[in-house]
Amino acid sequence: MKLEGNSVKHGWNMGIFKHKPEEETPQLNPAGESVDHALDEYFEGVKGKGRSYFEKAVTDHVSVFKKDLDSTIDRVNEQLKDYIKDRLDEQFRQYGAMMKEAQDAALDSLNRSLQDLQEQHKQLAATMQKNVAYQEAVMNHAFKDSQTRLLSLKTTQDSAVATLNREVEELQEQRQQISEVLKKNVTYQEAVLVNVFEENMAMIIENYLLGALGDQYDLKAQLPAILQQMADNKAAIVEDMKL
Amino acid sequence: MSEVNTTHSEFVLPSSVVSKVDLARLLNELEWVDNELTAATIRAKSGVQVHMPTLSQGLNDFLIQNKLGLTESRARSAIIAQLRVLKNKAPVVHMTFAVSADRESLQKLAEWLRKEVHPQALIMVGLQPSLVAGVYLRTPNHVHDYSLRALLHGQHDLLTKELETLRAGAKI
Repeated sequence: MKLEGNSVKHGWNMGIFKHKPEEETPQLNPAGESVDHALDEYFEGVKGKGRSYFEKAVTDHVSVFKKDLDSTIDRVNEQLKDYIKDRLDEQFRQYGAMMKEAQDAALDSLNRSLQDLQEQHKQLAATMQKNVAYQEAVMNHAFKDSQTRLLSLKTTQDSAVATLNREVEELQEQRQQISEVLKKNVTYQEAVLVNVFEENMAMIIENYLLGALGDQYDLKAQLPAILQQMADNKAAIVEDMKL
Repeated sequence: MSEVNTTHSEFVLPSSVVSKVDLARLLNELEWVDNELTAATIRAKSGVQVHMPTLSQGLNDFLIQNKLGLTESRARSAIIAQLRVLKNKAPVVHMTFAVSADRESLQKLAEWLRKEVHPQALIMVGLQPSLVAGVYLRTPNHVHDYSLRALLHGQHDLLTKELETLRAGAKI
Protein backbone atom coordinates (compact mmCIF):
# COMPACT_ATOMS: atom_id res chain seq x y z
CA MET A 1 0.00 0.00 0.00
CA LYS A 2 1.33 3.22 -1.12
CA LEU A 3 0.10 6.53 0.22
CA GLU A 4 1.22 9.30 -1.88
CA GLY A 5 0.83 13.01 -1.46
CA ASN A 6 -2.83 13.02 -2.34
CA SER A 7 -3.87 12.97 1.32
CA VAL A 8 -1.88 16.03 1.85
CA LYS A 9 -3.41 17.60 -1.18
CA HIS A 10 -6.88 16.93 0.13
CA GLY A 11 -6.03 18.35 3.39
CA TRP A 12 -7.36 15.68 5.75
CA ASN A 13 -3.90 14.93 7.26
CA MET A 14 -3.60 18.52 7.89
CA GLY A 15 -6.25 17.99 10.63
CA ILE A 16 -3.50 16.47 12.77
CA PHE A 17 -2.07 19.79 13.18
CA LYS A 18 -5.33 21.46 13.85
CA HIS A 19 -4.59 21.52 17.55
CA LYS A 20 -2.29 24.24 16.55
CA PRO A 21 -4.51 26.68 14.71
CA GLU A 22 -2.79 29.21 12.72
CA GLU A 23 -3.02 32.69 14.00
CA GLU A 24 -3.61 35.47 11.64
CA THR A 25 -0.80 37.86 11.64
CA PRO A 26 -1.49 41.37 10.72
CA GLN A 27 0.33 42.65 7.77
CA LEU A 28 2.83 45.08 9.04
CA ASN A 29 5.55 46.27 6.99
CA PRO A 30 8.11 44.76 4.61
CA ALA A 31 10.12 43.62 7.58
CA GLY A 32 7.10 41.76 8.85
CA GLU A 33 6.58 40.25 5.40
CA SER A 34 10.00 38.70 5.51
CA VAL A 35 9.18 37.12 8.87
CA ASP A 36 6.02 35.68 7.47
CA HIS A 37 7.93 34.44 4.62
CA ALA A 38 10.43 32.74 6.87
CA LEU A 39 7.63 31.17 8.88
CA ASP A 40 6.00 29.87 5.78
CA GLU A 41 9.22 28.30 4.74
CA TYR A 42 9.59 26.78 8.14
CA PHE A 43 6.11 25.33 8.15
CA GLU A 44 6.66 24.10 4.71
CA GLY A 45 9.77 22.26 5.88
CA VAL A 46 7.88 20.83 8.86
CA LYS A 47 5.13 19.71 6.55
CA GLY A 48 7.64 18.01 4.31
CA LYS A 49 9.25 16.25 7.22
CA GLY A 50 5.88 15.18 8.58
CA ARG A 51 4.85 13.97 5.23
CA SER A 52 7.96 11.94 4.74
CA TYR A 53 7.65 10.59 8.28
CA PHE A 54 4.05 9.62 7.67
CA GLU A 55 4.86 8.04 4.43
CA LYS A 56 7.66 6.07 5.99
CA ALA A 57 5.39 4.92 8.83
CA VAL A 58 2.71 3.89 6.42
CA THR A 59 5.20 2.06 4.26
CA ASP A 60 6.53 0.21 7.25
CA HIS A 61 3.08 -0.77 8.40
CA VAL A 62 2.18 -1.91 4.95
CA SER A 63 5.20 -4.10 4.69
CA VAL A 64 4.51 -5.55 8.11
CA PHE A 65 0.89 -6.05 7.22
CA LYS A 66 1.92 -7.66 3.98
CA LYS A 67 4.26 -9.99 5.70
CA ASP A 68 1.58 -10.90 8.20
CA LEU A 69 -0.92 -11.44 5.45
CA ASP A 70 1.49 -13.55 3.42
CA SER A 71 2.33 -15.66 6.44
CA THR A 72 -1.39 -15.98 7.24
CA ILE A 73 -2.17 -17.00 3.70
CA ASP A 74 0.65 -19.54 3.75
CA ARG A 75 -0.68 -20.99 6.98
CA VAL A 76 -4.19 -21.08 5.67
CA ASN A 77 -2.94 -22.80 2.54
CA GLU A 78 -1.04 -25.31 4.53
CA GLN A 79 -4.01 -26.01 6.76
CA LEU A 80 -6.32 -26.22 3.75
CA LYS A 81 -3.94 -28.63 2.04
CA ASP A 82 -3.77 -30.74 5.13
CA TYR A 83 -7.55 -30.73 5.51
CA ILE A 84 -8.08 -31.61 1.91
CA LYS A 85 -5.44 -34.27 2.04
CA ASP A 86 -7.05 -35.75 5.10
CA ARG A 87 -10.47 -35.69 3.48
CA LEU A 88 -9.15 -37.19 0.31
CA ASP A 89 -7.27 -39.86 2.19
CA GLU A 90 -10.44 -40.66 4.10
CA GLN A 91 -12.47 -40.83 0.86
CA PHE A 92 -9.83 -42.93 -0.83
CA ARG A 93 -9.80 -45.29 2.08
CA GLN A 94 -13.56 -45.58 1.93
CA TYR A 95 -13.52 -46.04 -1.84
CA GLY A 96 -10.71 -48.55 -1.58
CA ALA A 97 -12.64 -50.52 0.99
CA MET A 98 -15.76 -50.46 -1.18
CA MET A 99 -13.79 -51.38 -4.26
CA LYS A 100 -12.17 -54.22 -2.43
CA GLU A 101 -15.53 -55.47 -1.24
CA ALA A 102 -16.91 -55.22 -4.76
CA GLN A 103 -13.85 -56.94 -6.20
CA ASP A 104 -14.12 -59.66 -3.65
CA ALA A 105 -17.82 -60.12 -4.44
CA ALA A 106 -17.14 -60.15 -8.16
CA LEU A 107 -14.28 -62.55 -7.69
CA ASP A 108 -16.47 -64.86 -5.64
CA SER A 109 -19.17 -64.68 -8.28
CA LEU A 110 -16.65 -65.38 -11.02
CA ASN A 111 -15.23 -68.28 -9.06
CA ARG A 112 -18.69 -69.71 -8.60
CA SER A 113 -19.51 -69.25 -12.28
CA LEU A 114 -16.24 -70.83 -13.21
CA GLN A 115 -16.99 -73.78 -11.02
CA ASP A 116 -20.45 -74.10 -12.52
CA LEU A 117 -18.97 -73.88 -15.99
CA GLN A 118 -16.41 -76.48 -15.17
CA GLU A 119 -19.11 -78.78 -13.90
CA GLN A 120 -21.24 -78.17 -16.95
CA HIS A 121 -18.22 -78.70 -19.15
CA LYS A 122 -17.54 -81.98 -17.44
CA GLN A 123 -21.16 -83.02 -17.83
CA LEU A 124 -21.19 -81.98 -21.49
CA ALA A 125 -17.94 -83.75 -22.13
CA ALA A 126 -19.34 -86.88 -20.57
CA THR A 127 -22.56 -86.58 -22.57
CA MET A 128 -20.59 -85.93 -25.75
CA GLN A 129 -18.43 -88.91 -25.15
CA LYS A 130 -21.49 -91.03 -24.65
CA ASN A 131 -23.13 -89.60 -27.77
CA VAL A 132 -20.01 -90.00 -29.83
CA ALA A 133 -19.67 -93.57 -28.71
CA TYR A 134 -23.32 -94.22 -29.49
CA GLN A 135 -23.09 -92.50 -32.88
CA GLU A 136 -19.92 -94.37 -33.68
CA ALA A 137 -21.64 -97.62 -32.88
CA VAL A 138 -24.65 -96.66 -34.96
CA MET A 139 -22.47 -95.50 -37.85
CA ASN A 140 -20.46 -98.68 -37.75
CA HIS A 141 -23.62 -100.68 -37.82
CA ALA A 142 -25.06 -98.57 -40.63
CA PHE A 143 -21.83 -98.69 -42.59
CA LYS A 144 -21.72 -102.46 -42.37
CA ASP A 145 -25.37 -102.64 -43.28
CA SER A 146 -24.90 -100.23 -46.23
CA GLN A 147 -21.86 -102.13 -47.36
CA THR A 148 -23.86 -105.32 -47.43
CA ARG A 149 -26.69 -103.62 -49.25
CA LEU A 150 -24.36 -102.00 -51.75
CA LEU A 151 -22.81 -105.33 -52.51
CA SER A 152 -26.22 -106.89 -53.09
CA LEU A 153 -27.29 -103.79 -55.06
CA LYS A 154 -24.22 -103.98 -57.23
CA THR A 155 -24.92 -107.60 -57.96
CA THR A 156 -28.52 -106.76 -58.81
CA GLN A 157 -27.41 -103.81 -60.95
CA ASP A 158 -24.95 -105.94 -62.84
CA SER A 159 -27.63 -108.47 -63.61
CA ALA A 160 -30.10 -105.66 -64.49
CA VAL A 161 -27.55 -103.99 -66.77
CA ALA A 162 -26.92 -107.28 -68.50
CA THR A 163 -30.67 -107.81 -68.90
CA LEU A 164 -31.12 -104.26 -70.13
CA ASN A 165 -28.34 -104.65 -72.63
CA ARG A 166 -29.99 -107.76 -73.99
CA GLU A 167 -33.33 -106.00 -74.12
CA VAL A 168 -31.79 -102.98 -75.82
CA GLU A 169 -30.31 -105.21 -78.48
CA GLU A 170 -33.66 -106.93 -78.93
CA LEU A 171 -35.45 -103.59 -79.04
CA GLN A 172 -33.03 -102.28 -81.62
CA GLU A 173 -33.67 -105.30 -83.75
CA GLN A 174 -37.42 -104.91 -83.29
CA ARG A 175 -37.20 -101.20 -84.02
CA GLN A 176 -35.32 -101.92 -87.20
CA GLN A 177 -37.89 -104.49 -88.22
CA ILE A 178 -40.77 -102.16 -87.34
CA SER A 179 -39.08 -99.34 -89.20
CA GLU A 180 -38.78 -101.45 -92.30
CA VAL A 181 -42.40 -102.58 -92.00
CA LEU A 182 -43.54 -99.01 -91.40
CA LYS A 183 -41.62 -97.77 -94.39
CA LYS A 184 -43.24 -100.41 -96.53
CA ASN A 185 -46.67 -99.60 -95.11
CA VAL A 186 -46.17 -95.87 -95.52
CA THR A 187 -45.10 -96.32 -99.11
CA TYR A 188 -48.07 -98.57 -99.74
CA GLN A 189 -50.50 -96.21 -97.99
CA GLU A 190 -49.03 -93.29 -99.88
CA ALA A 191 -49.59 -95.07 -103.15
CA VAL A 192 -53.12 -96.04 -102.13
CA LEU A 193 -53.94 -92.50 -101.01
CA VAL A 194 -52.53 -91.02 -104.17
CA ASN A 195 -54.58 -93.41 -106.26
CA VAL A 196 -57.72 -92.66 -104.25
CA PHE A 197 -56.99 -88.99 -104.49
CA GLU A 198 -56.51 -89.14 -108.20
CA GLU A 199 -59.66 -91.18 -108.61
CA ASN A 200 -61.70 -88.81 -106.48
CA MET A 201 -60.05 -85.63 -107.61
CA ALA A 202 -62.12 -85.53 -110.78
CA MET A 203 -65.26 -85.87 -108.67
CA ILE A 204 -64.06 -83.18 -106.29
CA ILE A 205 -63.35 -80.78 -109.12
CA GLU A 206 -66.64 -81.64 -110.71
CA ASN A 207 -68.52 -80.98 -107.49
CA TYR A 208 -66.61 -77.78 -107.06
CA LEU A 209 -67.53 -76.63 -110.55
CA LEU A 210 -71.12 -77.66 -110.04
CA GLY A 211 -71.27 -75.64 -106.84
CA ALA A 212 -69.39 -72.70 -108.25
CA LEU A 213 -71.22 -72.43 -111.56
CA GLY A 214 -74.73 -73.20 -110.33
CA ASP A 215 -77.29 -70.48 -111.14
CA GLN A 216 -74.65 -68.50 -113.00
CA TYR A 217 -76.29 -68.64 -116.41
CA ASP A 218 -79.90 -68.13 -117.34
CA LEU A 219 -81.56 -70.04 -120.14
CA LYS A 220 -81.16 -67.21 -122.62
CA ALA A 221 -77.41 -67.36 -122.21
CA GLN A 222 -77.42 -71.13 -122.57
CA LEU A 223 -79.85 -71.20 -125.50
CA PRO A 224 -77.32 -70.94 -128.34
CA ALA A 225 -75.27 -73.79 -126.88
CA ILE A 226 -78.38 -75.91 -126.32
CA LEU A 227 -79.60 -75.33 -129.86
CA GLN A 228 -76.15 -76.15 -131.18
CA GLN A 229 -76.02 -79.42 -129.27
CA MET A 230 -79.54 -80.29 -130.36
CA ALA A 231 -78.58 -79.49 -133.94
CA ASP A 232 -75.49 -81.68 -133.61
CA ASN A 233 -77.69 -84.54 -132.40
CA LYS A 234 -80.64 -83.70 -134.60
CA ALA A 235 -80.54 -86.98 -136.46
CA ALA A 236 -80.88 -89.06 -133.30
CA ILE A 237 -83.73 -86.90 -132.03
CA VAL A 238 -85.58 -87.01 -135.34
CA GLU A 239 -85.11 -90.75 -135.53
CA ASP A 240 -86.56 -91.23 -132.08
CA MET A 241 -89.51 -88.91 -132.77
CA LYS A 242 -90.41 -90.88 -135.90
CA LEU A 243 -90.74 -94.02 -133.91
CA MET B 1 -112.34 -70.92 -144.94
CA SER B 2 -115.72 -72.27 -144.18
CA GLU B 3 -114.81 -75.90 -144.91
CA VAL B 4 -112.34 -77.60 -142.58
CA ASN B 5 -110.32 -80.13 -144.49
CA THR B 6 -107.20 -79.78 -142.41
CA THR B 7 -106.37 -82.79 -140.24
CA HIS B 8 -104.58 -82.63 -136.95
CA SER B 9 -101.33 -83.67 -138.59
CA GLU B 10 -101.45 -80.65 -140.80
CA PHE B 11 -102.06 -78.11 -138.11
CA VAL B 12 -99.41 -75.48 -137.67
CA LEU B 13 -98.97 -74.62 -134.04
CA PRO B 14 -98.13 -71.01 -133.22
CA SER B 15 -94.98 -70.27 -131.24
CA SER B 16 -97.07 -69.21 -128.26
CA VAL B 17 -98.20 -72.82 -127.91
CA VAL B 18 -95.17 -74.49 -126.41
CA SER B 19 -96.40 -77.21 -124.11
CA LYS B 20 -99.29 -79.61 -123.89
CA VAL B 21 -100.80 -77.28 -121.30
CA ASP B 22 -100.77 -74.43 -123.83
CA LEU B 23 -102.50 -76.70 -126.33
CA ALA B 24 -105.10 -77.71 -123.76
CA ARG B 25 -105.67 -74.05 -122.93
CA LEU B 26 -106.11 -73.32 -126.66
CA LEU B 27 -108.61 -76.16 -126.93
CA ASN B 28 -110.55 -74.93 -123.91
CA GLU B 29 -110.73 -71.45 -125.31
CA LEU B 30 -111.90 -72.79 -128.61
CA GLU B 31 -114.62 -74.83 -126.93
CA TRP B 32 -115.67 -71.74 -124.97
CA VAL B 33 -115.82 -69.65 -128.13
CA ASP B 34 -117.84 -72.40 -129.82
CA ASN B 35 -120.30 -72.40 -126.94
CA GLU B 36 -120.52 -68.64 -126.98
CA LEU B 37 -121.09 -68.48 -130.69
CA THR B 38 -123.68 -71.32 -130.58
CA ALA B 39 -125.55 -69.50 -127.84
CA ALA B 40 -125.33 -66.24 -129.76
CA THR B 41 -126.70 -67.93 -132.85
CA ILE B 42 -129.71 -69.13 -130.88
CA ARG B 43 -130.19 -65.71 -129.37
CA ALA B 44 -129.87 -64.12 -132.80
CA LYS B 45 -133.01 -65.93 -133.90
CA SER B 46 -134.88 -63.96 -131.27
CA GLY B 47 -133.45 -60.72 -132.62
CA VAL B 48 -130.49 -60.29 -130.35
CA GLN B 49 -127.39 -59.02 -132.12
CA VAL B 50 -124.53 -61.51 -132.33
CA HIS B 51 -121.07 -60.38 -131.21
CA MET B 52 -117.86 -62.26 -131.86
CA PRO B 53 -116.13 -62.97 -128.52
CA THR B 54 -112.65 -61.56 -128.02
CA LEU B 55 -109.99 -64.12 -128.84
CA SER B 56 -106.62 -64.58 -127.20
CA GLN B 57 -103.42 -63.90 -129.15
CA GLY B 58 -102.58 -67.62 -129.23
CA LEU B 59 -105.94 -68.64 -130.66
CA ASN B 60 -105.89 -65.77 -133.07
CA ASP B 61 -102.40 -66.77 -134.30
CA PHE B 62 -103.50 -70.40 -134.59
CA LEU B 63 -106.52 -69.47 -136.71
CA ILE B 64 -104.50 -67.16 -138.95
CA GLN B 65 -101.57 -69.52 -139.44
CA ASN B 66 -103.93 -72.37 -140.30
CA LYS B 67 -106.33 -70.14 -142.31
CA LEU B 68 -109.33 -71.20 -140.26
CA GLY B 69 -112.59 -69.44 -139.44
CA LEU B 70 -114.99 -69.83 -136.54
CA THR B 71 -118.17 -68.51 -138.05
CA GLU B 72 -119.65 -71.91 -138.88
CA SER B 73 -120.56 -74.26 -136.14
CA ARG B 74 -119.50 -77.35 -138.09
CA ALA B 75 -116.10 -75.88 -138.74
CA ARG B 76 -115.60 -75.08 -135.11
CA SER B 77 -116.62 -78.57 -134.13
CA ALA B 78 -114.21 -80.05 -136.65
CA ILE B 79 -111.34 -77.88 -135.42
CA ILE B 80 -112.09 -78.84 -131.86
CA ALA B 81 -112.14 -82.50 -132.75
CA GLN B 82 -108.85 -82.31 -134.61
CA LEU B 83 -107.25 -80.36 -131.79
CA ARG B 84 -108.37 -83.01 -129.32
CA VAL B 85 -106.68 -85.62 -131.46
CA LEU B 86 -103.59 -83.45 -131.75
CA LYS B 87 -103.51 -82.95 -128.02
CA ASN B 88 -103.36 -86.68 -127.51
CA LYS B 89 -101.01 -87.52 -130.35
CA ALA B 90 -98.64 -84.59 -130.61
CA PRO B 91 -95.07 -85.73 -129.88
CA VAL B 92 -93.78 -84.40 -126.58
CA VAL B 93 -90.13 -83.67 -125.85
CA HIS B 94 -89.22 -83.47 -122.14
CA MET B 95 -86.64 -80.81 -121.59
CA THR B 96 -85.12 -80.35 -118.13
CA PHE B 97 -83.04 -77.24 -117.47
CA ALA B 98 -80.74 -76.17 -114.64
CA VAL B 99 -82.57 -72.86 -114.28
CA SER B 100 -86.18 -71.87 -114.71
CA ALA B 101 -87.04 -71.47 -118.36
CA ASP B 102 -88.38 -68.16 -119.66
CA ARG B 103 -91.20 -68.03 -122.18
CA GLU B 104 -89.16 -66.49 -124.95
CA SER B 105 -86.47 -69.18 -124.85
CA LEU B 106 -89.07 -71.91 -124.77
CA GLN B 107 -90.76 -70.43 -127.84
CA LYS B 108 -87.42 -70.41 -129.69
CA LEU B 109 -86.79 -74.02 -128.73
CA ALA B 110 -90.31 -74.98 -129.83
CA GLU B 111 -89.81 -73.19 -133.15
CA TRP B 112 -86.55 -75.06 -133.73
CA LEU B 113 -88.11 -78.41 -132.84
CA ARG B 114 -91.11 -77.82 -135.13
CA LYS B 115 -88.86 -76.68 -137.92
CA GLU B 116 -86.14 -79.34 -137.60
CA VAL B 117 -87.76 -82.32 -135.89
CA HIS B 118 -91.54 -82.39 -135.95
CA PRO B 119 -94.02 -79.61 -136.94
CA GLN B 120 -96.28 -80.31 -133.99
CA ALA B 121 -93.72 -81.06 -131.31
CA LEU B 122 -94.58 -79.95 -127.81
CA ILE B 123 -92.25 -79.35 -124.91
CA MET B 124 -92.65 -80.57 -121.31
CA VAL B 125 -90.42 -78.41 -119.11
CA GLY B 126 -88.60 -79.57 -115.99
CA LEU B 127 -86.10 -78.05 -113.54
CA GLN B 128 -82.97 -79.72 -112.14
CA PRO B 129 -80.31 -77.31 -110.71
CA SER B 130 -77.69 -80.04 -110.42
CA LEU B 131 -77.37 -80.00 -114.19
CA VAL B 132 -75.48 -76.69 -113.72
CA ALA B 133 -76.10 -75.70 -117.34
CA GLY B 134 -77.37 -77.16 -120.59
CA VAL B 135 -80.40 -79.38 -121.05
CA TYR B 136 -81.48 -82.89 -120.22
CA LEU B 137 -83.61 -83.92 -123.19
CA ARG B 138 -85.90 -86.92 -123.17
CA THR B 139 -87.69 -88.06 -126.33
CA PRO B 140 -90.29 -90.84 -126.23
CA ASN B 141 -87.63 -93.54 -126.33
CA HIS B 142 -84.29 -91.94 -125.66
CA VAL B 143 -82.47 -89.64 -123.28
CA HIS B 144 -80.03 -87.03 -124.46
CA ASP B 145 -78.01 -85.40 -121.70
CA TYR B 146 -76.53 -82.16 -122.98
CA SER B 147 -75.90 -80.76 -119.48
CA LEU B 148 -72.59 -79.47 -118.09
CA ARG B 149 -72.71 -82.15 -115.42
CA ALA B 150 -72.68 -84.85 -118.08
CA LEU B 151 -69.88 -83.04 -119.86
CA LEU B 152 -67.76 -83.04 -116.68
CA HIS B 153 -68.53 -86.71 -116.05
CA GLY B 154 -67.21 -87.46 -119.48
CA GLN B 155 -63.94 -85.69 -118.74
CA HIS B 156 -62.96 -87.75 -115.65
CA ASP B 157 -60.26 -89.60 -117.52
CA LEU B 158 -58.83 -86.37 -118.79
CA LEU B 159 -58.57 -84.98 -115.26
CA THR B 160 -56.95 -88.19 -114.00
CA LYS B 161 -54.40 -88.08 -116.80
CA GLU B 162 -53.61 -84.48 -116.00
CA LEU B 163 -53.08 -85.37 -112.32
CA GLU B 164 -50.82 -88.29 -113.21
CA THR B 165 -48.79 -86.00 -115.39
CA LEU B 166 -48.47 -83.51 -112.52
CA ARG B 167 -47.50 -86.28 -110.09
CA ALA B 168 -44.84 -87.60 -112.43
CA GLY B 169 -43.46 -84.08 -112.77
CA ALA B 170 -43.40 -83.60 -108.98
CA LYS B 171 -41.52 -86.90 -108.41
CA ILE B 172 -38.85 -85.90 -110.91
